[in-house]
Amino acid sequence: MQVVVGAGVIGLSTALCIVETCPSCSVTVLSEQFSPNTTSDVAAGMLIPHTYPGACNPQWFKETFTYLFAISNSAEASEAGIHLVFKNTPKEELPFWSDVVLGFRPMSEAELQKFPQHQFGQAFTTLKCDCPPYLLWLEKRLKATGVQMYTRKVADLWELHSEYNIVVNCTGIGAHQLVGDKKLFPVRGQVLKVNAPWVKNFIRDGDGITYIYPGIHRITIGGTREKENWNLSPDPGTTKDIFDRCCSLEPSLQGAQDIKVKVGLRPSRQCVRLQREVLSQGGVKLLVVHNYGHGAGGFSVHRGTAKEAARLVRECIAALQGTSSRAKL
Amino acid sequence: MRVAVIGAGVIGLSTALCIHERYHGLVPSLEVEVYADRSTPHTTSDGAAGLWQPYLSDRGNLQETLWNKETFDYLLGHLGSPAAKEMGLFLISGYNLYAAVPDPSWKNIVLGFRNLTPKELELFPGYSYRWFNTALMLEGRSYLPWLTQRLMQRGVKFFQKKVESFQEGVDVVINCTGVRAGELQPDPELQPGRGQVIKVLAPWVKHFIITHDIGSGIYNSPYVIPGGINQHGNWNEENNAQDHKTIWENCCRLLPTLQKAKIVEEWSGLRPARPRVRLERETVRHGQFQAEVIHNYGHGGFGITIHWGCAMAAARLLGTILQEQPLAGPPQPRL
Repeated sequence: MQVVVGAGVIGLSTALCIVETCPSCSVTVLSEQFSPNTTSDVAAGMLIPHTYPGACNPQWFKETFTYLFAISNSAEASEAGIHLVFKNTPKEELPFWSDVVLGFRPMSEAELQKFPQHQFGQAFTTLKCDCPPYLLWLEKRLKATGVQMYTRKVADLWELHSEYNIVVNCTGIGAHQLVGDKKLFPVRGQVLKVNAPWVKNFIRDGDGITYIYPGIHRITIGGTREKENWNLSPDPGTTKDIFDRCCSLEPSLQGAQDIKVKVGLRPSRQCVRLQREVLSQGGVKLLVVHNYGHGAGGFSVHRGTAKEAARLVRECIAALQGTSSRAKL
Repeated sequence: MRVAVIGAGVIGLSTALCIHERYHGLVPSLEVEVYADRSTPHTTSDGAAGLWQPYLSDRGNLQETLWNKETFDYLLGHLGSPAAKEMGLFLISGYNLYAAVPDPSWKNIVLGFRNLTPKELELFPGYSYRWFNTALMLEGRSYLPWLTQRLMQRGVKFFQKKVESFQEGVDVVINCTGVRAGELQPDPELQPGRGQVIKVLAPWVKHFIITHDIGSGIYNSPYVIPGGINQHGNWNEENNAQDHKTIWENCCRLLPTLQKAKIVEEWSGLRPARPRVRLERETVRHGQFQAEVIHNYGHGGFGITIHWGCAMAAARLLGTILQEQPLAGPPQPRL
């Protein structure tokens, strides 16, 4: 019996991967929050990885992109909230993922005229996981395989040991308290979700702090990167600042309607914590697979890390079976 | 000096605006009036997706290629203005898919024209020529009301009326009557190119996709507008069930996610098709009356694409007329 704690993009995609690769597994999802109240719901869901300083696996982005690309062509794409958008980004170097996205190329002189403050740009087509649709789609697929989901705040992993033998920890920023990981810290992001359906291309400023990401029904514009800021309440001064910055990139946004402000705490860490751990207490063991700390790159790498987590779960199961057969001797 | 513009589609309204902007301050007695029996949202322009894209082949008309470019540059210049949204103007990128054809005349006009990469080719198997570029969308349903407002603000008067002939007492007539120009003056070169479109709600589609062998296309706007057939010589403005089926099946095959889209509207229109645009001056005499006529019709399926270049050309023709005529003259009876 396995339980996944956390129902953001990491939790749900990990649960799905486990179910797909381990038919004998029986998976339950527990989470304090479900869509539309997770951190993932605040995110635009763009597939553009940042360059992490640590030794994080570039393969994860490629796996995620390939997986979503395949779905985007099928009739499921609309439901899953995945679609192709074309990008204008003024920036410098050639990123490691330039051959993973579609049609990566430098922007032409004529295209750059639209951005007089910028000297250089890159254009490409990538994918976007619109939230809530993507999370709801994952939930639907999980339910179809018989996975149960419950709203429950887990205060301590040991609460779970009597019902489950493997715990998959996808609690995002919640891991700070749940497992006491002091290397995990929030990077606060405030965004505006606006109605501006005439904007079809995304625009991201080189520093990555100012961006315009068109979604299915709304555009996500942002943003901020505030380290160690735990405040989930929107700040009006920040809202105005974001709006001004984005309007200078895309003046037509001045006509945007119905502005909603959202705040999320990116679960940031030098690298994703993706590893097994055996907890023991009074002779009792609890197997844990951690999959958290994706920072700003959750959507970009989610499938890749979910697959790795599922593999770690299978290792745990093998280890458990090994133990029990030894016990029978 | 009374100038009557006949027709209130994209050609009529933009020509009226161009003329007024250019000459209003210079010619004191200039009066511009617009006459039309149909106005937005019932014109041919209103059914158009509004994608800026000329035909694949320029049919040997270099002049038209230049007018297309002038229009693109004009619209590009307006992109950064706050008016863009009201005009219905925005950037859009997308795919053109063909069986076999060389690079188009407009490849250096649009932004970022390129061939598809091998990975992108997986999206659309079966086509040998595949391009990607960023162009502009100018929605008739927003642009026409915007033009109308600009004209009204400038004091241009509108008359809802079907004009039966040229000689009705104005100094200059600008003939922007589109597909029905033949009713004012027979023109065997002008034929209706019937088009039927289906408007659907599919906001997740952010690109346009046009294929040119089966003539189906997906153009992007707040509604995706798949559709496209080009039936030459068919005057029927009613929606046709068989055409609907053909369009729908072709587009869903091209983009399977459309199956989930909600159909919002169906529309048929008649493109004013002609081997080349008729943009020229003619002096029409009938008994005592004489009128200068500037023809500006026959823009086929690229009216929006070419409109501003043509409007400026029509305005230049008016300029020559203005230079020839004495400024003062007896007032003419109203149309």
